[in-house]
Amino acid sequence: MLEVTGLSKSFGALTVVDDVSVTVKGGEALGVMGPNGAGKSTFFDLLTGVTPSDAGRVMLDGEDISALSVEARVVAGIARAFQIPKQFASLTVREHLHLAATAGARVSASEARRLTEELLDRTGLSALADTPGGKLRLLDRKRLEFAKALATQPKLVLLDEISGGLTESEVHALVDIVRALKTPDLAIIWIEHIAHALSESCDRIMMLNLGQKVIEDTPSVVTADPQVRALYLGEATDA
Amino acid sequence: MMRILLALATAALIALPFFADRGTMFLAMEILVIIALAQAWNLPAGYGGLLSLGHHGFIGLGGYALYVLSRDLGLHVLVAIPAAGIVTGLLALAITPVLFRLRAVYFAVGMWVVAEIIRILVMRSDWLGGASGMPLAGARDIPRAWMLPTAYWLALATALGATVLVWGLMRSDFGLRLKALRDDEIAARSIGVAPNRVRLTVFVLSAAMTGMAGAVSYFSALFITPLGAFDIGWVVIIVFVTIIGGMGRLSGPFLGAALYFILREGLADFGNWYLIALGTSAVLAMLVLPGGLASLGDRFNFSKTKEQS
Repeated sequence: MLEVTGLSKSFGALTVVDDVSVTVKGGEALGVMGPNGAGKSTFFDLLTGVTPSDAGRVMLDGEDISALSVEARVVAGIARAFQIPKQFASLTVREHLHLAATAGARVSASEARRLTEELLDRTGLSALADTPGGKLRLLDRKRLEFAKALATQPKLVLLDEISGGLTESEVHALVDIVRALKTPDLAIIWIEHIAHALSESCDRIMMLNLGQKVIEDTPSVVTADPQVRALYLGEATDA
Repeated sequence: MMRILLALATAALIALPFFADRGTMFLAMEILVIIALAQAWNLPAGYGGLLSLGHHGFIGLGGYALYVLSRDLGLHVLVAIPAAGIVTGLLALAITPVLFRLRAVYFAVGMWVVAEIIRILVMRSDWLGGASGMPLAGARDIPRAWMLPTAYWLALATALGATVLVWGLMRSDFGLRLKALRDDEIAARSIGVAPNRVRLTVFVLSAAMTGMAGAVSYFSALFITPLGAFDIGWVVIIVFVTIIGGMGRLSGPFLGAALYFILREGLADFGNWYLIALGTSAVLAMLVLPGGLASLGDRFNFSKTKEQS
């Protein structure tokens, strides 16, 4: 589904993403780990087009999307759930999803309404459908962030540290949601600090450090890797 | 109930020429033109975050378009006035490739520069009567006794039309895009909203509405000059009315226009003091009531819900 080759980005002398290549198939979930400043968020910015890349190519479903704008990539099939949920203060929850469906998935108004009700139901937001985005609690904002991404009918979902600020049991619920997302025509990339969350939900984990790919393998191999333990898991047990 | 009141008010406004004197009709027409202009300016500024300080350029373009279409193409004024709006919209579309490279305050000032350039070009054009302006050829299209009522009804139609257009637009799927962009541009783009397409649409619509209101205003004047038609004073009034009334609110232009004309007419005997009153109320509004007069209702509702909970 997603094929990234030689993706690079420098800010001045600092190389933030350095020649990263990775492939994610439909139905697959890739976890991305790495210490702060490893280039994880910039990697997402390059995939979504928020930041233009210096070199490399991003192919989605066989189509080169490297030169497309942020919004065109969404229409092409990339959706992102932000670390800090972004909602529109003056739009209701239902309007958020309707907009995402009409603008991002380019479906008709009636199909958008159907999709909206389905997603409200699936993400447990039905009771809050008419609440403005500015008045939601954190967990509901996270749900909305998720539902919004799905309403664009993506081929690839990017989850950017969505467990931040959640309790341990909420993280477990999130892992279940991500597992439930796995369908043959959807690829998932999940950036997360919590190693066990990724181990429980992802098929493979990619470790970034200083913008470079250190290792990419199954969760059990990656978490057992001495280099990974030194770089990352030490930090995680401190936290 | 609300609908009945609105229908009654509209009926009374339509019937106004049958019982009001000329002075009242002139004032009413002026108020309606200002409401239409404020509604048009509010669309890109209040809903889309595109602040323009050059909308007087579109007023002048609309006015001149009416005069030229009437004189050179012999169009009936009732056809030429909406056509003037369309011409203004198309000209606005033509300048967007350059203007839309500018953001925020640069856009605002860029629009002002555009308006100045248009004024200078018009003043240097013999075809458009140069600095001394030109009379309205199509004045003969309407019998003299019907001129003022016709101008008034056109102003009424423009003001109501602009209001209904903005209202309908904000309730549509397009309105969702506009509001989302205003709230958070990156988030809006991240669900597939193309910002420039949305902004282009509201900008061109706004220019067309402004051009048409300008044409209506200069239809009643029967004569147009570049200094009057491209006067920055137009924008000063429009911005005042919209900000005092409430940016991004449908009722804003009505409330702002009411306050503007109350101050202007109430202080008419005191020379330019009304300008000082306007400036003072604008500053006060920005300090204590940033949402404008239209947000007073919200405050009331808000405190009520707070008491209940």
